[in-house]
Parts: sequence; C-alpha cells; structure tokens
Amino acid sequence: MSGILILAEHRRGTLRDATLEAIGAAGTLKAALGGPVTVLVIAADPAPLAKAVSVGAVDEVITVARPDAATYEPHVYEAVLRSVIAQRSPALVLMPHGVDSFSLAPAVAIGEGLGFATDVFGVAVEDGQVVATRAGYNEKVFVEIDFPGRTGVLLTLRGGSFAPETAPASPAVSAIDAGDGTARSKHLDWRDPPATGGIDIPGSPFILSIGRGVGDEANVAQFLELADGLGATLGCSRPIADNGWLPKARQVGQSGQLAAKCNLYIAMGISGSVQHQWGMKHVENIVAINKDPEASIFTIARYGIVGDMLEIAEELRKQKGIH
Amino acid sequence: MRAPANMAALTGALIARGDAYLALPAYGAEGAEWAQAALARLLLSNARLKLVFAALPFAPPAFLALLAGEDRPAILQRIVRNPATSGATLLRLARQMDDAATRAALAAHAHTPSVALIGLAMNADAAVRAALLRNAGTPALALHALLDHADAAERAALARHPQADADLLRTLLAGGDAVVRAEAVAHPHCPLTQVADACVDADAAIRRRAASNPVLPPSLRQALMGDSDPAVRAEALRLHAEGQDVALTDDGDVRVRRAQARHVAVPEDLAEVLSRDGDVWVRVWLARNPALPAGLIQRLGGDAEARVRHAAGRNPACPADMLATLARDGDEWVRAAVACRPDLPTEALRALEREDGEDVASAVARNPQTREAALRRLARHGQADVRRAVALNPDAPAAALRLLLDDPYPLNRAFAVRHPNLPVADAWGCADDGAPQVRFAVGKRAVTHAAAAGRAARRHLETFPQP
Amino acid sequence: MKILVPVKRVASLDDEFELRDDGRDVDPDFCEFDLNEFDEYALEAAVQIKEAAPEGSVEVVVLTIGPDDADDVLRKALAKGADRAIRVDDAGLEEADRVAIARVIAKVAENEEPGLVLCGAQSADQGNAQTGMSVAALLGWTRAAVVSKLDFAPGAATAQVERELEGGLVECLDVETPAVLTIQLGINTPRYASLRSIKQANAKPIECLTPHDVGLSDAEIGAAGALSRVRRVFVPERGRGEIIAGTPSQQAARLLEIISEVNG
Ligand SMILES: Cc1cc2nc3c(=O)[nH]c(=O)nc-3n(C[C@H](O)[C@H](O)[C@H](O)COP(=O)(O)OP(=O)(O)OC[C@H]3O[C@@H](n4cnc5c(N)ncnc54)[C@H](O)[C@@H]3O)c2cc1C
Ligand SMILES: Cc1cc2nc3c(=O)[nH]c(=O)nc-3n(C[C@H](O)[C@H](O)[C@H](O)COP(=O)(O)OP(=O)(O)OC[C@H]3O[C@@H](n4cnc5c(N)ncnc54)[C@H](O)[C@@H]3O)c2cc1C
Repeated sequence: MSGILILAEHRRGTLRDATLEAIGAAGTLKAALGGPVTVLVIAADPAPLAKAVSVGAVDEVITVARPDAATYEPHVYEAVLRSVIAQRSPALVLMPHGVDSFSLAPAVAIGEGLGFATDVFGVAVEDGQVVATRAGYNEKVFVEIDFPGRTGVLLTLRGGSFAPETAPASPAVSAIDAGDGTARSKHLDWRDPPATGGIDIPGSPFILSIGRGVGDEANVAQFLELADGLGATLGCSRPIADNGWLPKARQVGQSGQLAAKCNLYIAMGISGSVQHQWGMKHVENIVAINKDPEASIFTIARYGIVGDMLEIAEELRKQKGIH
Repeated sequence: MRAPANMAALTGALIARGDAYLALPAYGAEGAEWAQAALARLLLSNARLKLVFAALPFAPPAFLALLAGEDRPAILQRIVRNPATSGATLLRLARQMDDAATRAALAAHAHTPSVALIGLAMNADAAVRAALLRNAGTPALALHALLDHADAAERAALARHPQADADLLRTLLAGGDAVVRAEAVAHPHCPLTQVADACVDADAAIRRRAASNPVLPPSLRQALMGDSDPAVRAEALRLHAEGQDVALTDDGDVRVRRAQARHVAVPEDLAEVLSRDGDVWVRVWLARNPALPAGLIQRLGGDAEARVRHAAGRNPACPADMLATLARDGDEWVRAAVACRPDLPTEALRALEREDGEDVASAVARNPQTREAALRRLARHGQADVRRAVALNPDAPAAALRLLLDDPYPLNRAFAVRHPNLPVADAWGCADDGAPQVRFAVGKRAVTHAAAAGRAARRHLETFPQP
Repeated sequence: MKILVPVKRVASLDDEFELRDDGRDVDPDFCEFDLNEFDEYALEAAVQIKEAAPEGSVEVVVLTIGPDDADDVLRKALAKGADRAIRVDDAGLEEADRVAIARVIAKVAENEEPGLVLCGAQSADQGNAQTGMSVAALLGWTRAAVVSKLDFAPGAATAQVERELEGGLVECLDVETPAVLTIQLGINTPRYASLRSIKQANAKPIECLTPHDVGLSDAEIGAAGALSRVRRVFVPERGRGEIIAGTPSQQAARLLEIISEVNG
C-alpha cells in the first residue's frame, strides 16, 4: 500500500492542465507517502498523452489503449481505473475536480472502499495518514477531513490550488490491458460555446459592474463611458436593470447572466448579495469598490477599495484620459 | 378577512397569530404600548430569529433597543452594525462592550452620538481610526484628536473629511505632503490663499484638484478654464455654475468637449458644433443635457448611434413629437427610454402598451399614464421583473395590484402589499403568506394604517372636544 | 414510470456565524435553510417529463434525508409539481458523509424502482458533487453528471442528454436507462409555486421512514457507511483580499495597475 496514482484527464486529444497540477501535488506528497508516482492514461491513442504527462516526479506512466475510450466514458474509465487500483493498491489516488471526475470518482471510491473527498485544495500527511482540506458553506469555512480505517484514499483536486508541474522527466512507460467494462453512454458530438456579439456578459473576460451605489440614473452613462475606455463590458446588479437604467442583458447574477469567462470583475457600489455573487463569485480577480467596509462583496474580493465609486470612477477617467 | 382597524385590535390579532414576522412592525408603534410585553415574548421566542432580527435593517429601532438586552454577543454585535439602531441603544452598548470589533462598528455607525465618537477618537486603534475617518458624521474635534498619530494615508483622509475645518486643513497643509495638499485644496473649508496658490502650481494634478473645489471663486475658475492641461480645463468646467459669466469655446481635447457637452450652460452655437462631434460620448452627454434647445435634441434623436438616441429619449426637455418618434425606433432600448415617461404622447404610449419585450414592457408598466387594462395584462406578464414594475408604478390601480397578490414570486407580492393603492383589507388577506418578507410587509401595512387611523381619531377628538 | 428526485435542504450562513461547540460544524442558529437551488432544476426537469407524457403515466417522487424541519423543502417540491414526498429521518445518521447519504437514496430507489433518478449537480452549501453519482454507483446504473439538456420519453431505452463541460463546451450523448443524472442550473426555468399549489401541498402527506425501514443494515448506516470523516471546521484567515488604501487618486492608480497586470 504505497505510491500515488494519478488519472490523466484529457479532452479532444489534449491533456488538461489540471492533470499537471495533480502531478505537482503528488510531487510534494511523494516523500511523505512513499513512491512511486504513477500516471494512468486511458485513451484510444495514449502515446502523445503519455509524453505530455512525463513531467516532474512521475516515475511511471501506464497506458491503456481502448477504442471505446476515444472520448471520456465513465463506465469504461471506472472498470480500467478500478482494475489498476486493485493491482497496485496505491495509498493515494488523485484526479482533477472536474465535470468528468464527478461521474467517475464516487464509483471508484465506493467500489474499491477508498477514503474519499472532493474539491480538495489542501492535502497533508500526518503519521502516514492523509488529511484533506476543502471548503464548505459557500467558501465561508474550511473543513478538514480524515479517513479513519481506510488504507487508500481518493481525492479530487480543485483547479488552481496546486502548482502545475512542467519540468520534463523520463518515466518508464508501459502499456497494459486492464478492465473489461462496457460503455453505457455514447458520445454523439461536441458543441463549442456560441460566438458572441452585442452585449456579452457571459463571454466577456473583463467586466465592470455597477450597483445601486451609482445613486442616480444620470450617473449611469459615465460608467458606460468608463467601461468603454477601460476595454471592459459594463455589467450591473439587478436593481439597476429593474429601474430600466441598463438593459436586462447586462445584469449579472442568478436571474441575469453568469460571468462565465470573466477573469477580472470590478464591482462598484454592489453589496454582494448571494444572488449577485451567483453570477460572479467564481471570477479569479474580483475588485470590490464600496463605501461600506462591511459589505459582503469584500469577503469574496481579491482587492478591495473602501470608497465612493463616483470619486474612484472620476479619478479613473482622469488618469486614463477618458474624461 | 377585514384588517383590524385600530391598533388595540390589530396588536391583539397579531399576538394571537403568533407569527413573529407579521408582528415585528408593531413593536414600539404608537397605540401598541399596552401589548409590548406580549409582543416581546413572541419576538424573542426563537434563537435563530433573534439573530436574524438583530441584523434586519428595517427592524423597528424600539425592538432593537429591546433586543440589546440579550446576552448573546453575536446578537449584540449585529445590533451595533445595524443601520437602524438608535443613538441611545448604541451608547448603551458602547458602555457594555469594549471589544475591538464593537468599537470599530460604533465608530462607523451613522447614529453614534458625537460625544461617543470623540471618546472613541481618544485612544483609537487602526480599525477605529479608519472607521472614524470614513464616518461623515465624525465631528471636527474628533478629527483633531486623530491628527497627532496620523500616518500619510490618514492625513490625506483627514484632509478630505467633510467636517475638517480650516484650522485642521491649515495644520495639514503645513506638513508639506503633496498628496495631503491635493486633497486639502479641493476642500470647501480650505483657506482661500492656499487654493489660489494651488491654481498656479506647476503640478497639473494639484491644479486639477483645486479646480474641483466647489467654492472656487469665479475669477480663479475662469483662469483655470484657460489652463494648458485639458484635464484641468475639463474639471474647471464641470463645477462652473450656470449664470456665471464664462464663455465656453471650441476645444480640441475630447475630455473638455465631453465636459462641455454635459454642461448646463453650453451655448447654443457650441452645442451645435458638439452635436456633430465624432466622439459618441460627446453626443451622448449632449443629448442628455436638459439645457439643450429642442432643435438639437431633435437632431440627436436621429443620431445613427442607438446610445445617443436613448440619451435624447431620457432628456427631460425632449419635445413631445420627438418622444413619439423615438417610441417607434427600431431599437428596443431606445423605445424603452421613452416608454416610462409620463409626458409621452398618448397614442405613442398606447402602441408601446402592446409590446411584450422585457425592457419596453417594464418601462410601460412603470408609466403612470398606462391604462388599467394594459397594467392588468402586464401584471400577468411571463417575466417577473415586468410584473414587479406594475407594483412600482405609483398610480397602479387596485385591480392590477390585486393580481400581483397571487404572483408566484414573493418579492412581487411584498411590493404589491406595500403599495398605497392596494386596500389594506386586501393586504391583510396575505397574512398567511408563505414568505416571511411578505408577512412582514403585511404587518407593516396594517400597523401604518392603524396608526394613521388612531391619529385621525385623536385629531377628531381634539377638534370636537367631548364634554 | 416513476422519476425519483432526491432533494437537499441546504444551509446558507449569515455574514457572521459561530461554530458548534465540538468545532466540527457551524452552529445551526446561524443558518438559513432552503431547498438546494440545483434541485429546483432537477425537479423542474422531472415535472416537465411528466407533463409531456400521457396524463397519469409518470409519477414524480421527491425524497429528502433529514430532520422533520426538512419537510419544508418537500412541501416546496410538492407545490412545484412533485406527486409524492418521502423523508427518511436522520436519527442515527450522525457522521453520515455523501456516500452514506447516497446509500439511503439508493435503497429508496431500489424500493421505488424509478426509470430515472435526477439529482442536483451539487449542493449549494457543501458542493461535493458526489451524492448523485454515488447513488448511481451503488445501484449499478448508468450515470452522467452535469446535464444541461435532457430529452427523455418515459419507457425509452436511452435518453439524449447534453453535459456542460469546462469553458462552456457541450458534449451531446445518448445514455442507457435506467440512469442517474445530475442536473445543472439553467437546464430549464424552474417554476414558482402558485399560492394555490402551496396550499394544496400543505395538505399532502409526507411518508416518513427510518433508515432501517428502507432496508439498510447497521453496517451501512451513518459513520459505518461513510468513506470520510470531518475532523474539524475552521474559519480561514483570509477574510478579505488586499485593501487598497490611500486617496481616491492613489486607489484609482493602483486599480489601473491591477487592470493592466491582469489583462496583460
Ligand atoms: C430570486 C432573486 C433573484 C435575484 N437575482 C439577482 C441577480 O441576478 N442579480 C443581482 O444583482 N441581484 C439579484 N437579486 C437581488 C439581490 O438580492 C439584491 O437585492 C441585489 O443584488 C442588490 O443590488 P445592489 O448590490 O446593487 O444594491 P444594494 O444591496 O442596495 O447595495 C448597494 C451598495 O452600494 C454601496 N454604495 C452606496 N453608495 C455608494 C457609493 N457612492 N460608492 C460606493 N458604494 C456605494 C452600499 O454600501 C451598498 O453596499 C435577486 C433577488 C432574488 C430574490
Ligand atoms: C442526517 C445527516 C447527518 C449528517 N452528518 C454529517 C457528518 O457528521 N459529517 C459530514 O461531513 N456531513 C454530514 N452530513 C452532510 C452530508 O454528508 C452531506 O450534506 C450530503 O451527503 C450531501 O453532500 P453535498 O451537500 O456535498 O451534496 P452533493 O454531493 O454536492 O450532491 C448534491 C445532490 O445530492 C442530493 N442530496 C444531497 N443530500 C441529500 C439529502 N440529505 N437528501 C436527499 N438528497 C440529497 C441532491 O440531489 C443534491 O442536489 C449529514 C447529512 C445528513 C442529512
């Protein structure tokens, strides 16, 4: 019972970065848990992927080539992964916490009787036992989880929590046949997200959103202008759309749009209700500008400015020469 | 189901129902004093609700005063942060709790009495200092107390605090820090000589801040309007009041032109030039400018950019025929701009009443001129936001509001219950609503009604004294 | 045919809250409870299948595992179109993790024999995204996670579904039935319950069972059926990000820096 097994996640022939993060995490745990670090690649044509995972602390790559694994299929993956785990008895199995692993990890953990936790962003080894940390209650608390009586543990790792490993390595690569398993679902097609035009909150990488703090309809236009000048899409909270100050298509939140592709979200004069957060709390870089230092928006912001949005906006315009 | 008409009957009914949300508005209401103890028992019966009510910004201040007698620290901390908490309650809690978080919350609260703020300033930690500097009510005396240990950022904050007096500003300026100076010269209480110096400073940022001083004398403002830096010119223009004798002239810089376009005193010939400006924002600002002559609003209402036409449609001075034209615009957002205007010509409104799109339909629903039949239809619109707009229409008739009482969306029911055109009897019919916010609204409506009835009855007694 | 929709009563926390005395969970006084939002969509999907089928041919059964307060979410589900509600009482379920909860759901599914089980993709409070797929594993049924479109005619051997993957990419696939699917937000527009249907729902019975009633053995209940244990819960030291201090002009200057740092 030792070593770390990582399942490679790939889609449309490309390895997903999250796999490199899992390898990075394994590198930091290898000393405490004991090697080897093994990556399992299940695919119709595993060779190029095997190369892509030959990085960092990886000692061994196992490939399983199956025509029915041209795309991810949970029942096929389950059979293969379980048979590899049964043979190798790793102390820790890692996979990214992603849409594919949702339908795989529970079946493997239950089937093999592994300790199990998902969306984990911290892993420690204490007295040889794995302890995982994840968040609960909408990120408001952290939860430490242990696995009494379990000899192996399966964790799915939250994206962005572990540094990806990219340094090339030369692990042993071996191809095996593993698991029977038959597909019970059939891939038909991919559909890429629709091209965007006009007001596009879901597609915008940079959103500047205004809330009731804007005060008056007469102030709204200057924020359209500011957003324009900064290269941002203007979004808003619901009361702004409800008042008819901006069209509904700009509303971010539960009953509006999801800022799905946003990387920088500046919330001005928005208190941060759950419903608004629904549309934006996942954004990596949130800047909150609010005159109330207690506003809940600050609890999810990476940067906070306690101040008057109109003054800050005015300064931005001046310094950016938008005036 | 009739709503109890007087406060005694109402309070009795509220207590009998045993619903804390419904009863909450009655606590402390005039005429309900006799039942205070029974109300208190009901409102304090549940640990979870005590926490919820302590943080509720529309909880009656008298109830928060009562709740302040609880022991649980989490409840008291919420009361200190609740914007509805009265100064007296805050003072009481200030004497009782001395932890850092409470002190900071007191320092930030708009109702904390001046004496307490001055006391807090005396030996304040960083969080309390920051809160005092942000609290617009912090008196000058407290600001002076903060000066001693102020670091650079705090000195800048002191220089921009609305209660900073000339003495404080003079002391701050004597420190010689450029950032502090930039704040101080924009302050209306700044000594004039210092402002005048700033107007001719070598640093454009300082001149710009001076230009934003709201009490800048006209002669200095005039001088800054000829400044070499466009940002300074634009700023000087922004606060230049109508009627002051300053000529606005053609300017090469887009920032200045945008500021001119917003200016109420933009002269007609300049406006004429600006209305053809290549910069869309110049035209947007101009189109919104209420001082613009009708002819120019007409022209901008025909602009190729929908944003400009929208702005023209929002201009209070937009002439009726232009409103009618914009009501037929191909762009929905432009039509929505005029759809909520009470001065929209009747036929144009009637045509828009038939539209179903969300932006136009919500605007029509808010328009006080919209017909009852149309409002009744919009009260059953597929979009909840459109239906709620009916409840936000100040002239919405009871017949339309009643439909909203069956709205599946609780917020819409709450809005309808609050609407003064909905008879209290109808509102009272929602006392069993599943959503707490609706029941609270019902309680509030009934209490306000009974209190008004009580006042009217007393007035009646005063006018016709009983033998 | 039946469709089983397991629904969860989720907690949202007040801005400030306290932990339970044993430090392993939050003090429930600080929790606001409601039906898991994802489950609203799962329920709506089930009700839409029922409404598209001949009258009376599909029954939507909702199930929750929890204390009697959790009846609220079942009533809400009944008001929104579910036909029957079952609550498995939580007495004896202390220390249950996702898998242990899934064991209860799977047993109920074995008893009810639905053609589909529709769970939420995840819960709004804990968000493990495990429960539904664990149910499928325990039943040995076909599974698909994060379903954003569902076409299914009762009785058909397959369902056509779309899965929403990272970055908005969609995978279209056929899945064999019976199946357990977890449902993504936005798959439909959940209805609001009308006041009348709320009143009717309040009059409907809720079947209340124990874990033993549904056929679980002691070795499967609570901690015994779990694959994990909460050791401790704590409030992270992080609170808020970097506070940008200074005057508005300094704050604006820093903000412009951040914009160019992030946008490259
Ligand atoms: C079912 C449902 C769905 C909903 N869907 C959505 C949705 O999709 N999107 C959405 O946004 N909301 C939604 N809401 C509404 C939501 O609950 C809040 O009411 C709303 O988000 C509040 O908007 P806000 O933050 O702009 O306003 P407020 O909560 O009023 O906040 C205004 C903030 O501005 C600050 N402020 C005021 N003046 C200034 C100033 N000069 N400078 C800086 N700050 C200032 C204040 O301190 C305050 O924090 C929904 C609600 C429900 C019930
Ligand atoms: C009685 C009881 C005792 C518990 N004790 C503990 C404990 O000691 N330690 C601990 O860590 N956790 C405990 N829990 C929490 C429990 O492990 C999880 O809340 C639950 O398993 C769901 O996990 P999740 O919220 O991450 O849901 P996810 O895995 O994200 O799945 C969500 C979906 O699963 C379904 N679902 C989830 N929970 C239920 C439910 N209760 N009833 C019906 N359907 C459901 C719904 O369809 C929902 O949309 C307990 C829960 C209960 C009900």
